[in-house]
Amino acid sequence: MSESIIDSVDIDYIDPKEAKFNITENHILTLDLNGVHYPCVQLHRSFPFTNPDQYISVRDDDDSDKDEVREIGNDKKKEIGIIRDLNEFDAVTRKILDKYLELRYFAPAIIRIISIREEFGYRYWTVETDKGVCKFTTRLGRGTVVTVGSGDKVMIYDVDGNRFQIPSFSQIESKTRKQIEMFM
Amino acid sequence: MEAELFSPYIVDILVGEGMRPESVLLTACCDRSLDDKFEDTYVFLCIDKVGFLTVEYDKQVSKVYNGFVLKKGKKQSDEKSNIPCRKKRYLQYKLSDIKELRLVNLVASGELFVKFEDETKETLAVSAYTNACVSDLAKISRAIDKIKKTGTLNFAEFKDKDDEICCPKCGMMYVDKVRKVCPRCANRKSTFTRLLKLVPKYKKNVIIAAIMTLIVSLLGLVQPYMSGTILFDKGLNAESGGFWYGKVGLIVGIIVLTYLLYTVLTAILNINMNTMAQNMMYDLKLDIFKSFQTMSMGFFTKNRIGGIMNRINNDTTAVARFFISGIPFLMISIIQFIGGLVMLIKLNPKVIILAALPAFVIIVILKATNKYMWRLYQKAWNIGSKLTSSVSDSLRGVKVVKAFGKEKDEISRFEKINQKCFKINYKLCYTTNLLNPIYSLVISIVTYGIWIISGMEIVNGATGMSYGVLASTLSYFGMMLTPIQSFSSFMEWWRNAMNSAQRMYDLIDVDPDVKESNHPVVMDKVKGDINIKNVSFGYEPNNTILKNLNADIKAGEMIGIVGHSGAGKSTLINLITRMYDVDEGSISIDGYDIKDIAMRTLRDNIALVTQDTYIFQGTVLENIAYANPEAKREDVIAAAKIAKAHDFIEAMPEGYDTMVGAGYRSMSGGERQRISIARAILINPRILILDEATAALDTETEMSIQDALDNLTNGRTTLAIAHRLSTLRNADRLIVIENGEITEMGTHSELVKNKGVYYRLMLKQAEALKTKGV
Repeated sequence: MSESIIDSVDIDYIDPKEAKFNITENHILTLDLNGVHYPCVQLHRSFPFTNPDQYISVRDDDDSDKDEVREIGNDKKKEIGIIRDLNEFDAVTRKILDKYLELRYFAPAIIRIISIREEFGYRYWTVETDKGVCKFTTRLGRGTVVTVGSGDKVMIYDVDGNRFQIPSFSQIESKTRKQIEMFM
Repeated sequence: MEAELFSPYIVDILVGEGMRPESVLLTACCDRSLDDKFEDTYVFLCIDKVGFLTVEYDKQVSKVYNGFVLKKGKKQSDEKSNIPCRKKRYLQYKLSDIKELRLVNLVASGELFVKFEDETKETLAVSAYTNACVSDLAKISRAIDKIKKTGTLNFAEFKDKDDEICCPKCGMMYVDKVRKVCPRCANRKSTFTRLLKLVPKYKKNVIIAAIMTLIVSLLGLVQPYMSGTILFDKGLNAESGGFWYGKVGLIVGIIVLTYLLYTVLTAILNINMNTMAQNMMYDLKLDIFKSFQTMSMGFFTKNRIGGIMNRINNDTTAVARFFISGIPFLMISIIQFIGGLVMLIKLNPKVIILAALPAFVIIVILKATNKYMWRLYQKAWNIGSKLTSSVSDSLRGVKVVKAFGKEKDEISRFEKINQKCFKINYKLCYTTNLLNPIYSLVISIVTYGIWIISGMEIVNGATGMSYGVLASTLSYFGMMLTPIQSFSSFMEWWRNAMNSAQRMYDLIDVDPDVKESNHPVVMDKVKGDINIKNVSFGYEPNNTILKNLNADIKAGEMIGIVGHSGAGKSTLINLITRMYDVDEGSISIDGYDIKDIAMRTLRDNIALVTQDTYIFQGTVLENIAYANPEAKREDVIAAAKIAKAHDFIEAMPEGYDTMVGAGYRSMSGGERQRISIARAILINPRILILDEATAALDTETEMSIQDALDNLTNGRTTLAIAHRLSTLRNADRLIVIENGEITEMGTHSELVKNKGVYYRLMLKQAEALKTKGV
């Protein structure tokens, strides 16, 4: 059998031994890799629901080269490489990366529902989350409460696109589960 | 002008930091800290500096997101303004020291950076924010840009557009800024009252329905009396019979007649209600469709087309069903319940106490199971709609399914949903079938109780009790309980109809972003001068696509627009055609701002030919004459000839009358494109816009269409976007757009001489063609 077309593509995996991530005093995530210093990088999960800890794309946020002619379809933020698995990093680096990812994928985790009111096309939620009590509004109808990944994680999207999560739907208290089940 | 400063506590802190509150021009707030908590950081912009104040509140406050309805007229900022707060951190920078205030998009949120002029100084991450804060922060970021470039700030441009995000009546923030429907005002003028307002339109039907309902209900009440008391106690009883004694034939005749009348009138009532419902559905569908046509492009890009179509079909049906079945059912039930009760009081008052027992049991069971049943109905509805969309998804993608041989996987995917659907519907059936016998059992037990008690009374010769009274009692008894038992179905109709009606009104009430001016300028033919002045625009508030664009295009000029994908070329076209309105600056045609020009004038004078050509279901003739159905046959043929479409149309057996579009004769990409060019030619536009008009075609077709286009552009103001620079060979001038800014403008030779972006793009394309051996 001939060589697969997939094999002809090289994915630049970041070698944990070569990469040094750091958060500066000014709260900027930097990376030193193979002798190059990247003063501001961003992390994008390739599979935020199914593999949140694997395949993290590390992207250079530097926009100094914007006058250069770019290839069509290229993102402004260039990919430096991909982290195959966060677990390959030591505990200190892992903490730095986790902290950044939490900032990027902000979604308060719902602990229980305090009240839900439905009125004229909208659903008004008051919930207790790991970040305190939140009050938000979703539309009625599909697409606002969805199961993602393996099916035990639930995401709720409000009218502005803000996200709330239930990391483990089967573990949440049964009253809340029954209430949410109706909207799924 | 002084900006809103949030609270007196904050003013105190600012004064303490040496910032004069009256010097603050604009304010915004970030609501998240960088360590993943909710925390408020206020941003204050003055003409020469910017300050960032992070505060701690003395009291824990819940986080209220946009759109959540607090107490009347209250915003969360009002609630917070009463809570004392302390400074946690204060940062202040001179505008001359900072390069930009940068908003970096995170997932459904963002992070605020300060970049410094001194490049050795590291960028600072100030804080993070949720989506609600974006537009205010973006405004400050843009204002800083303006001040740095011009040294001043035109405050009017940055004025808080409160009137656009809040309901003008009550001042409450819209839940959805695109749809601009105020839930409180919608609430006050409740959906049901609005639905009832439709009724006068069908006055004749309503009057007929009211009369029929009354007669049908009364006939329903007469029947038990005739067949019970009159037949048994009068017709068959010599002592108390009086006039009725022995006239069994007459009594049965009246009963049969009543029944016949009841049946005929019920049929008339149903036909009448159906007619009304059909008319209502027709009007509602038309209203919704009309409102679609007035909406701006932004609405269609933000809403799923499938969901919108559902509203036209399912929601109108749900509302109509409520009017056909729900309302007559409710009216008849109320009359019969009251009538039954009155008759029971008159005939056999003791029974009322017995009737209360099953009524009580039914109400208790209904109340206990209501939530559960409602949940089941909801689940069944959800899974049903999932099943439908799964089928339509699979059918739409049938080509891909077959190409990859995934038929079996599709079957198993469907099976999984179907299985779930089956289980929930089975549960629903099972529960309903379990509850109904319970109701019947309770009713039967009480009925037998009435039999026993009344039977004993008859045997004992108690006054007022007879066979006839017993028979009538039993009928009225059933008549009273049936509405209670069916009340849950009524509630179901009611809930569905109100939800559907609300969704419909949400659409009908949408206030379009792009609106016609109150006093529009109407022009028969425009000359075609286009002036673009300081135009900035973004689809999202924090993402400016076009930045301060300036260009002067003379009538009859052909302008080529060049740039990378995502540079903002098509966005500029969207603004010139007024699919969207500019955020800042203005676009004018012949000296008039396009916002003041009548939509009709714009549409009659600007023609757009894009890469995605759409062929409507209809004949070729109808498709070409789409914008001008009155066009003469000769003109249509001439347009087709110029577009080089005439010959292939003639080759079709039915010529211009050939049905095309979904389900009919299919057309190749080149043919469709030529039809759409002919469509544009026919309206004889003064301004022609070609957005990648030939990008989807092969070289040979492109060349033949290019000739057609050259015919078309002659003498008109033309704006042409093309990736393949060779297609712009006839352009008088070229505009190069890079990252939303015009970086180069001039003739081909000028730009080549310049050796800028255009030159590099040209070299790259030439190189690419060489390697491909073209």
